Amino acid sequence: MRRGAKIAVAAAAMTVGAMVLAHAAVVASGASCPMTDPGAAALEAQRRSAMLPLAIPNARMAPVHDLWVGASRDRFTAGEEASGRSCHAEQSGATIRCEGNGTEALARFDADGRLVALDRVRYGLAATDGERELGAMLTEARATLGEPARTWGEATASYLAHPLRQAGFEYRFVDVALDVTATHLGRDGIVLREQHRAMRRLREGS
Amino acid sequence: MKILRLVGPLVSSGLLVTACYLDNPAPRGAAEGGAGAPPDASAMLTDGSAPLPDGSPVADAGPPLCTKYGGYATVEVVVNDLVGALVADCRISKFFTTLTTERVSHLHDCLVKQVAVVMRCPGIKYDIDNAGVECRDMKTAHKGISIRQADFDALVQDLVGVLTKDGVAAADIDMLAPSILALRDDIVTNSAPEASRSICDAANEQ
Repeated sequence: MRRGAKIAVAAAAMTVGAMVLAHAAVVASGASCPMTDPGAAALEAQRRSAMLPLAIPNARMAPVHDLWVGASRDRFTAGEEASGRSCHAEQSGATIRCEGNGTEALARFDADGRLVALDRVRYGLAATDGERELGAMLTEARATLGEPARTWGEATASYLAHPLRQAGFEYRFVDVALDVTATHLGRDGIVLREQHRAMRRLREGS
Repeated sequence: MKILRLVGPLVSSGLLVTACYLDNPAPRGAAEGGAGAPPDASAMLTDGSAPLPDGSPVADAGPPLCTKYGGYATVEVVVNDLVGALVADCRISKFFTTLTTERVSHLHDCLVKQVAVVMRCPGIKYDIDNAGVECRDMKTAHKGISIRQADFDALVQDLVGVLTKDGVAAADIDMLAPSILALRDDIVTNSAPEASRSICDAANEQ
């Protein structure tokens, strides 16, 4: 068996084992399945664990610390509603989802009520809009954050014209991760997504 | 850091829990002919050579993508990466955090087979998991979960991102697009704007 295959088989076996342990840990924490409300602390622990693979060696702090990090629910919701989106809480307030005008924003808060992850999504764009918007966002990001850690696809209308084509860029810092993608989702057109995520536990006052 | 990079994906995969793809798997023997038997199991995903229900062709030009990209072991890597991406995606992670141990294993096994079939891995059928439990068709597996269009879109975005990151060429993703997008009509059942329910919500009502 080739080395890669062995590694893959071992990874699969370990994955299932990890899943079993993770589930056991959740159940041991007092939450049983069916469970609909694992709680903000458990959700944040899961989220941070899922972020570990995104860390890159020798990462630096983000040169600009986005204002959204650490924002409160009230502040976030007020801002969204001022932008014409209606918001509702999910998962006992750990998540706030705001929708309207073909856009969606979903924010995740930690147990202290501070924003730790934010998704902004715009639906139904034409390929030309996807090209323009993604290009503008990359230009803006370069101006404030420097060169992205990775880019993929082509931010052009011709490239994005095919279903499931995706172009995007990502930044990886010690404290935050930013991913921006434009994806052609067939009849739903181009979906533009900004994903901001805290990479580590927020400290007091951060 | 090496340890983090190794353990991170495993832990995140462990926390995965992709409820999207199952809600109450029954042993194969019990399911066959019973009330819980998928009426059209394997109709959508068979051996990769049959057309999809909507008539769209499967990716059948040239050598199988599975072979081209390293075989079944690569599919397992892709699924592990996908699971990590789903857990880190706050938009839909709630679907993956409420499964029992058995469901987690079932999901993992079936998802690997599903992707393997779509990529035409020789000899692989979307039939049973490693424990002999039947992998159900998408319509049956998602019944009662009220998956929204936005939820499906989020999963597809994550899938395309993983495929791209794992080195699948855009032209090959083009070939996979009809197979993937054809799943939408069986999975998306909620046209309401409000958020979908978790798998456990659905289970409580059955």
